[in-house]
Parts: sequence; C-alpha cells; structure tokens
Amino acid sequence: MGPSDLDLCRAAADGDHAAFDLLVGRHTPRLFRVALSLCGSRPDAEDLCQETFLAAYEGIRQFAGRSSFRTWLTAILIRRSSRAWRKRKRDSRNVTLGDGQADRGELSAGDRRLDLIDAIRSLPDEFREVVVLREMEGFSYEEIAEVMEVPCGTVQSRLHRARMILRGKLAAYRPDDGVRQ
Amino acid sequence: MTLCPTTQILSAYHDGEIDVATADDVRGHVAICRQCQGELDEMKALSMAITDDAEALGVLPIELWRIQSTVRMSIGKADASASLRRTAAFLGAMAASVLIIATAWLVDLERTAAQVDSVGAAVAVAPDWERLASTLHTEPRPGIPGDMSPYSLRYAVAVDWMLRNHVPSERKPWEKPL
Ligand SMILES: [Zn+2]
Repeated sequence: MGPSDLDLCRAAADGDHAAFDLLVGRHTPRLFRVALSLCGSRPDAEDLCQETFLAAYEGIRQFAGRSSFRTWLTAILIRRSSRAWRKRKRDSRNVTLGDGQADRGELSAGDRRLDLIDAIRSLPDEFREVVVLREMEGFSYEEIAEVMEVPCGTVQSRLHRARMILRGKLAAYRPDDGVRQ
Repeated sequence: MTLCPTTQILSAYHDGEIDVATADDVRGHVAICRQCQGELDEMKALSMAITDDAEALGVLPIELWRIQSTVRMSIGKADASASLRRTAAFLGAMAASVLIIATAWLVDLERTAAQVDSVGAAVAVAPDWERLASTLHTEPRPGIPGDMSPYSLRYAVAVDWMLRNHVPSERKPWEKPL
C-alpha cells in the first residue's frame, strides 16, 4: 500500500510534483468516469479532468483534509462541469437528448446503454449530479451533500426525483421487460 | 408498518441511507407488500444498469497519459513562471532602489552647490560631474572579491548616469565617430 492521499497532498503542497503526479494517476480513472457521464464527449471529459487537477494543484494548500481528497476533487469537478454544461446548453438550445428512444423500436444493448447515459445527461443539473455520484461512484448521501453544498435531506429528495424521472425515460429497463433482473 | 412507505423512503432504504428503526419497518412491510417489492426491484434494476454503464465510461490509456502529461507540464510551467515572477519582482525592487539612491545623491549634490552660491563666495565651483565623480568609489566592497551586490552596483549605475549626462561632450571621446 502506497502513501495516503493526505500524505501526497501535503507533499504536493510543499512543491513535490511527483507526489501530485501520483494523485493524478490514482484519481483520473474515477474522475474521468464522472466527467464523461456529466459532459457530452470524451475530449470534453479529458479537458474537464485536466482543469480540475490544475485547479486542485493551485488550491492544494487550502485542502485541510477535513473531507477526503476524492470528495474535494469531485466538488471541484462538479462546479466546473456545471459551468461548462450551462454554457454548452446556451450554445445549443435546439438540441435535445434522451427523448428519441420511443421511435427506434427494438433497442440493441449498445443503444440501451447510450440511451441510459443520454437520459442521465438530459436530467437537470442537480439531479444529474446526484445520480452520477450515487449510482456510479457510490458516494454516501453525506459525501454528496458536501460536494453539492446542500443538506442530506435535499440529496435524498433529489435522488428520489431523479430516479422517478429516469424510470419514466427508460421504460425499457423495467425488470418485467426482461432487460435486467 | 402497515401503510406503504413513500417512494422517497423506499429510495433511501434502497441506498441504505435510513435510520435502523425505519429500515426495520420498511423491511417488514416490503416482505408482505408486492407493490413496494416491485418498486424496490425497479430501483435495483436501474442502479444495476447505471453501474454496468459506468464501466463503459472508463478512461483509455491514451487519455490517461494525455491528462497526466498535460497536468505535469502545466504545473511545471506554472511553478517556473511563479519563480520567474518572484525573481523579476526582486530585480525590479533592486533596480528601483538603485535609482532612488542615485537620484538622492544628485539632489544632495545640487543643494550643496546652491548653498555655496548663496554665501556669495567668489570661489570657482567645480562642474557637477567632477564633484559627483569625487564622491564615487567604483571598487567593490573591501574584502569581498567579485562583489556585485546592490552596494557596488549602485556605483556602477551612478557612474554610467554621470558620464552620460554630466561630462561635457568634448570630453567624451567614446561618443565621437571613428
Ligand atoms: Zn407497500
């Protein structure tokens, strides 16, 4: 087992680039998954990860270790992605996602996967983020509350609402359709 | 619990994010209510589907490499430019202090000449550049070989300024064309 995130953070705060490099290597796979499920494309996700790490490096002296590095890093990414997402939405108001599956008839596994990701991406910001953090990353309600700066009760209600919306969008995933049991 | 819990409670129960007493109640209810059992099954199915899809969103080795190397390079550049800014600020401060010191000398020099004039003594006043030259020592500080500290640099700057501005042009052979 290597050095803890906190040890690496402290070393990075003292200017140890190799320590920060280790943190980047350690957290990129998870961070990229979050980024890609929040934003539209792999290049965007890559940019978002880079920006997040650079912002983290700039602020690493302020990271006091009260939360985990993972939570802190994710909070930076979420803030940046909502900004980028809002901008992209403004730029392409006429493009809608996730409502077209009804016309396609039978869906292949690949199509279903695409539709699920699209359906998540089409959720309003606050619902999209709770779903990604909970369902993809396994964050606790408390961690999500910290990342999103809202009370735990809000996380609970948003997650519930998000699930209801997704279920409405993804009738194909109902267990009695035999897609997943 | 005889009444069906709300779907929000079921959602939190599904996540294991509910207090122990309520969780016991829900568990007891779900065991006898097909409708709530169905709700929970749908939530489980959705969670499983999303978890499966999350695996397909993995970073590719080339993407990981690009992210790491871009971050590494940007951090190196940022630190280098921060250190350059610190050095520039130091040199700037040093240059400013040299100018202030040189100016102060000259002002002081003018004042001395004016005082002499006000006494009205019929003494010949040496030209500025000669009097300035007599106050300067271009040697480094004694005992410090190769000294290039602000202490000796300020002399170099003052001498340069004096030669340019106060030496009569006929005595500046280095400015005459060959
Ligand atoms: Zn029930």
